[in-house]
Amino acid sequence: MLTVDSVTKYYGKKPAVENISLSLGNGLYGLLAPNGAGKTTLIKMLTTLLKPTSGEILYCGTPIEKLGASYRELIGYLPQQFGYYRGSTPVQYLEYLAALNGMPSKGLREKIESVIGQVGLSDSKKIKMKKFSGGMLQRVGIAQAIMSDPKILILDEPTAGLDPKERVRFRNIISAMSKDRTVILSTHIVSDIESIANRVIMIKDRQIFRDSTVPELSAELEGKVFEASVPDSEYERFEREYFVLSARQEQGSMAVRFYCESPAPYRPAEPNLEDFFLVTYR
Amino acid sequence: MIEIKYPPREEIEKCKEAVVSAAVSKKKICRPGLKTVFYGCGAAGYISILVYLLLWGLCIALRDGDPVRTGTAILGIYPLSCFAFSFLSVFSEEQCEIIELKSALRFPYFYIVALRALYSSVAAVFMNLIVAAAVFRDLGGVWSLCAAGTAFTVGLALMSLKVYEKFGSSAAICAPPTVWAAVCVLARSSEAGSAVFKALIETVPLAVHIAVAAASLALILIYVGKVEFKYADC
Repeated sequence: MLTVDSVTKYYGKKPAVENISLSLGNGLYGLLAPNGAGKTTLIKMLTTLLKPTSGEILYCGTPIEKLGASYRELIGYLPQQFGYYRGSTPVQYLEYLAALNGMPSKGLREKIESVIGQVGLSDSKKIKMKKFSGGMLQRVGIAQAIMSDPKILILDEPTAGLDPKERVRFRNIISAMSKDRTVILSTHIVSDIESIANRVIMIKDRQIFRDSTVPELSAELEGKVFEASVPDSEYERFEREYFVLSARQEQGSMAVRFYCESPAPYRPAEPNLEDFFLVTYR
Repeated sequence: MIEIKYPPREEIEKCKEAVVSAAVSKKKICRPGLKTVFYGCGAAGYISILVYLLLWGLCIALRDGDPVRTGTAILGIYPLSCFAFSFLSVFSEEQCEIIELKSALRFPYFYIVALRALYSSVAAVFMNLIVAAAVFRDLGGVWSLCAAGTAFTVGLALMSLKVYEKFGSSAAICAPPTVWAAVCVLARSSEAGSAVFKALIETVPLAVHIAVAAASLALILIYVGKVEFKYADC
C-alpha cells in the first residue's frame, strides 16, 4: 500500500503540487491532467527523484525515504523522457539496467527475452537502438519498467509515440499487470486510461480535484452532454453559446457534441471521461 | 457478547515490521561490478586518454631549468588528468537524458558517479606515478610532488563529488579542478605563488606528503562508503 500524506512541493517560491493525499493499493490508477498540472512532479516524488517540501510518502507505513534502495528496487519506472545509449542493443541495455537494479544474473537473459517478446521487439533485439523509431524506443522503455516484475509500476506518458496497435498491446500488458500490483499511469490522453483504470486521479490547480472511477466521473455530466447537427452558417453562433466538445464536418452542417449546464432542446448523449476532462479543464 | 482482545502496541509494531520486511525484498547484489559502473563511458574514456596524453605532453614541454616552475606545472596537471573522464562521462549521460531513469534504480546515479570518481582518481594517481617516475625522476623533490599530487587529485575528486551532489550538473564537476588549475597558473607566473609552491615542495618533508596523500585516500574511501550506505543501502 502506497500512501501519499499531505504532500506539497515547491520549486523555489512556486508551488507545483499542494496538499496531495492519496491511498494506492493494487490496481491501475490513471493520473490525468493537462500538461504542466503537476503530474510529473508527483511522479518524481513517488520515485524518490524529488523530496516533498512538506508531507510524506509511505510504503506499507514506512516513509519511502527511509526505505531508500529497498523501495527503489520495488519500482518499475518509465520517465517522460526515456534516455538510452545509442550504441546499445535492447538486450544489452536491459542487462545493464537490470544490473543497476540489483537483479541477479541467474535467469536474467530468459526474463529479458520474455519482456522483449511482450513488447513486440523480438525481431529487433540485436539491432542498435540508434536505428529505432520513437515507438520502438518507447517499447524498450516499457520493457525495462516491467522487467523486474515490480510491485509498483510508475509510467509517465507511456504511450507517446506509439501507434494505435502498440497502444492496445501496451494497455493489455499493464491491465494484466495491475491485478496484483500498483500501477500508476500518468497521462493527458484520456483514451489511455478510460477502458483500463480502476480509479482516475485528476489534478487541478495543483491539488487533487477528483479521485473516482470512470463511471462515477462520467455520471457527473449526466444530462449535460448533447448532440446536434448545426448548419455551417449557424456554427459560429452555436460555438459562442455552448461549450463544444467535438465537431465533425458533414455535408452542409456540423455534427456537434457539446456541453450545457441546463437542459437544452437537443438530443442527449452518453457522457464519457473525455467530456469530463474537457469540461474540467476548459 | 464476545470480548475481542486488542493486541498490545509492541505486537502491532512487530507485525507491521514483518509485513514491510516481507514486502521489501532482501538485497540481492550489494555492489555493481566495474562493467556496470563504466557502461556507456567508452567515448568519454578515449577522449580522456587523449586529454591525459596532451596534458603530460604540455607538462614535458613546459619543463625548464627551474624545478619549482616545473613542479608547479606537474602539480597543476596531476589532478586534471582524471577530471576529464568524470566530466565527460556525466556530460554524455546528460545528453542521453538517461540520468532520471538511472536515479530511480536500486543503485542510483550519484552512487555510480561516486564509484567512478573513486576508481578513476586512483587509476590516475597510479598512471601519474608511472609517468612522473619515467620522465621526471631526475627532478628534485619529484616524490614529494607525486605524493602532493595524489593528495590534490583525491581531495579535488572528493570536492567535485560534494559539489555534484549539491548541484547535480556536469558543470559542477569541473568547478574545483578549474579553480585548482587557475591557482597553479597564477602560482607559476607570480613570485609569491612560486614561493608557496617552493615551500610546499622543498620544505615539507616527504613523510608528511605521504601521510596527507594516505589520509586523502582514506577520506574518499570513507565518503564513498557513506554514499554507498545512504544511496545504495549496502
